[in-house]
Amino acid sequence: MDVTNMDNEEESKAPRPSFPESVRDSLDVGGVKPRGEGGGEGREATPKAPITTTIHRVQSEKFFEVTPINFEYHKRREEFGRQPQFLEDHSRIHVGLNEIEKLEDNYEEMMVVEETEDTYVDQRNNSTNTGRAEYKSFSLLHTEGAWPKEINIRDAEIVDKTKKKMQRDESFLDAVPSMAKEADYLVRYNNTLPLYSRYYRKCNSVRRRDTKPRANVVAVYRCPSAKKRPVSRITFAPESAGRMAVAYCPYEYDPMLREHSNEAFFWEVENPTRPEGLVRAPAQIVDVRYHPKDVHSICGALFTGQVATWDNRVGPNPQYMTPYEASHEDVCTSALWINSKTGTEFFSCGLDGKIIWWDERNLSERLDFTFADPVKGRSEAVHALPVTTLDYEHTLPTKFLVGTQFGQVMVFMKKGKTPMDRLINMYKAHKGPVRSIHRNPVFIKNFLSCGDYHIRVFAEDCRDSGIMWTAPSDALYTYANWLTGRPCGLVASRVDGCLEFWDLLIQGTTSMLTTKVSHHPLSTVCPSDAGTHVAAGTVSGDIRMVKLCESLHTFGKPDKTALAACFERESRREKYLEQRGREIRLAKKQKEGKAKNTGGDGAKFSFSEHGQEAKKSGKYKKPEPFKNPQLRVDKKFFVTIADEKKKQGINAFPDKKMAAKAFSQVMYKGRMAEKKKQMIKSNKTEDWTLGVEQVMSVNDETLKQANQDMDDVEKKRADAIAKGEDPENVQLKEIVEPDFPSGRLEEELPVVPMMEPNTELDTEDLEPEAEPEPEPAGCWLNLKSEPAAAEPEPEEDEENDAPGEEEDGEEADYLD
Amino acid sequence: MSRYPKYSESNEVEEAIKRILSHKGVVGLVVINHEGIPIKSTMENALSVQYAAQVTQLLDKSRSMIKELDSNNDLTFIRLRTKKHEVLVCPEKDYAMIVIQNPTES
Repeated sequence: MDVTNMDNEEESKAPRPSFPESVRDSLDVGGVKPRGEGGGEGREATPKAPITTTIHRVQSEKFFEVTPINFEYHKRREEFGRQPQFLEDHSRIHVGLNEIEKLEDNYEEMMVVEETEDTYVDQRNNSTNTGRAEYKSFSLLHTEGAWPKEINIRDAEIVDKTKKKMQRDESFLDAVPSMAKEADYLVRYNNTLPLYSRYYRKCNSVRRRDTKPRANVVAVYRCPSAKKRPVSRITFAPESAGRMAVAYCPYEYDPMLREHSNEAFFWEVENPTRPEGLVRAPAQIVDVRYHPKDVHSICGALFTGQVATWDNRVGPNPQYMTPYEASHEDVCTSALWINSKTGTEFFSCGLDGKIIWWDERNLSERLDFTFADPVKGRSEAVHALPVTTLDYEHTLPTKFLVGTQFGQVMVFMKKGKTPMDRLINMYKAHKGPVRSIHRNPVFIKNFLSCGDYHIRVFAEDCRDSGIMWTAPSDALYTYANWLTGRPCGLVASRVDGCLEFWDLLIQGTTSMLTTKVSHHPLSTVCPSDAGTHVAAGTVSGDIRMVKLCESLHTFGKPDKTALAACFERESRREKYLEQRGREIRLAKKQKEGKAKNTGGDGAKFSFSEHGQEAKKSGKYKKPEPFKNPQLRVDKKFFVTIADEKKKQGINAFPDKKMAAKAFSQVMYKGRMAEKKKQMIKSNKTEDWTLGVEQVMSVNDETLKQANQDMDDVEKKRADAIAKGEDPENVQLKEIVEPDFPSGRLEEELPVVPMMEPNTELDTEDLEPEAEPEPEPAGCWLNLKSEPAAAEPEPEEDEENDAPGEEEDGEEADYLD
Repeated sequence: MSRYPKYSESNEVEEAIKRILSHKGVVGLVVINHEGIPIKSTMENALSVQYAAQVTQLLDKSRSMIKELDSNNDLTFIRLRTKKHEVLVCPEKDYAMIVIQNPTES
């Protein structure tokens, strides 16, 4: 028996197996009851100790001797390998606490109250993201190495000699055959069994084309400068070089403008972690463009109105820059390379309304310039409109397009000598700045413009308006462009961070796909040359590369013809409209001319004409007054309901079931009152022409009356019981119609169908559902198609069928 | 030190190489030593140097990978399947044999 007390060391160290006196003493003092394995129980009768809060542990002394400090394990040699002998040891006391009576008074039961005072649930919102890992990739140029130092590897002779020497090495001679054996086996193995070849090639040949368009963000190119600037332009390098140039610049005046860095970055499409290169300028770069023939020369527009060119092989600083006096007087918004013999010409536009041609070789003076004057043949600086965007198609080198701050789209002739020749046409396209203009990559006669909440498609030969335009979107557009991979598709960026994809062939009314690609407003979008990706720039300065699904970048031959037909059809339609408009105008003019000639007569004539028109337009005929006043009131009721429904649809009634119920209830009450009236004044049959409202008011009175009567009856009955009479004898003098509180309505309803057939009015009253007023089709259909509309109440169903036609006829009369 | 190997031994190497080359689809064979020098090659020099350099790196990397996973294990063979061909690398103690095979021909 071993009792160890964790507190006192010296006792537990005492020799074993006999109990030393000290241990027992201490145990007694501590109030511990020592328990033995065998006869220990006999000694249990130890006196109760005052405090008994000691923990004691019982161990089998056979194997263990536990001290607080060290732990020894004993096992005799002869016991090795034997099965362990387990001892039964059921009851143990780990903690013994005696009750203390004097403390019992202090015992108090606690009331546990769980209470929360907040009405909302505690919530926490955390978000974590892994740190952005920036990678650099380097390529390694391996030149032949690892030769011993003394060997010159350029000397072929020595190299050969060394190789020969190596080949004669014994280990080489041993190694090669063994390696060869292995390789040989595998080569033969490969030849025998084409393990990786594709079997059943035919089975997979039918690939399902995904019909649901998708566009996913695959990469984010974050602006490396600390200060975030909106992306103003993304352009892809020509010939699918896998590069894009990005200009970052706020369009509006920003007080912090000077703190922004003035760099435009070149990104390698494959590497979104860091830009491949950059160009910088003394001011913000608004627009940056690759030369279509040469990836290295770049032209850009600056915020100061200047224009600059760079050679990105040379360095980030501009090669040439225009002087202030020659350049734009306001922000230069765009610069574009144009076709020229030297390939060094480009032109730019600015918010000062000027369009200037430049030659890269000599930027100190301008080649030519013109003003974006909306009036043909004027071209004056005073009237010039600020130009926000410019488009030039290299396959149509004689023309270019200009979009202005105030929503005009102008078609200009490049080669025009006089201002009369320059401006070909102007469209009033938008109610705000034109954000982008782009010619269709296939049908260059057609172009789109984007601004405010619309995208419009124009054809050059339709001079009045666009041939197609989109429905107003939910958010402002910031940029739109054709999808290069699918020329019938459009992509537009919006301020709510969504990209919209339109397809003129598939869906003209709504966008094919609208996906949110960023939490920040998008500022620009540019499809890659291959057409498989779209890069969208945000105001926070990052570019999101969006991968398009196959249906958004494939364009077949039938599609092309379909698109041609689509443009053709729309422009023809527009032309017809134009022609018609012109005819009408002409006719009007002629009439006006006539009126002027004829003088007073003409005025009269026009007056009469107006009168006629008024008569014609007044289709609504006042209905004949009803002979039956009941009907009139009913009609009024139905007309109000119909109006309400027209205005709000079925929403006029917060709950259809409720509404139906309410109707039936009112009607029922009305009818009951009617009945009663009939009963009371049965001689006055002609006079009971009451509208619903009247019926209801009467009903109120009768209700009051009925309640009173009921009270009387109750009182009398109570009296009778008190007197000891039979309560059944108590009779009411008057016959009381029971009224119908809403709760009892269901039980009472089956009475309804038992109405007499001659009470037409009642059935009419009962018809809230069979509304005869001609409804807007959608509304009516909606009502009908709703399964909830068919009320489960039986009387309604029955009545629905019967009077419907009759009512229809009446109502039709009323309307016509 | 100019101990010439027996003719038969040298012949044996040639034989082995010839046998492999005789198989269908075998494009080339390079034997490199542990320093990455192409000792024997049936391909043009530049290409064999390239192969030697890249395969040496790959061998080191994959060997260390295998060792890392299980120190008792060792790399015995690498077969690299590519779009154009299969590269068989057979590492020995100090040498490695690279066989480039064009399996599409087979």
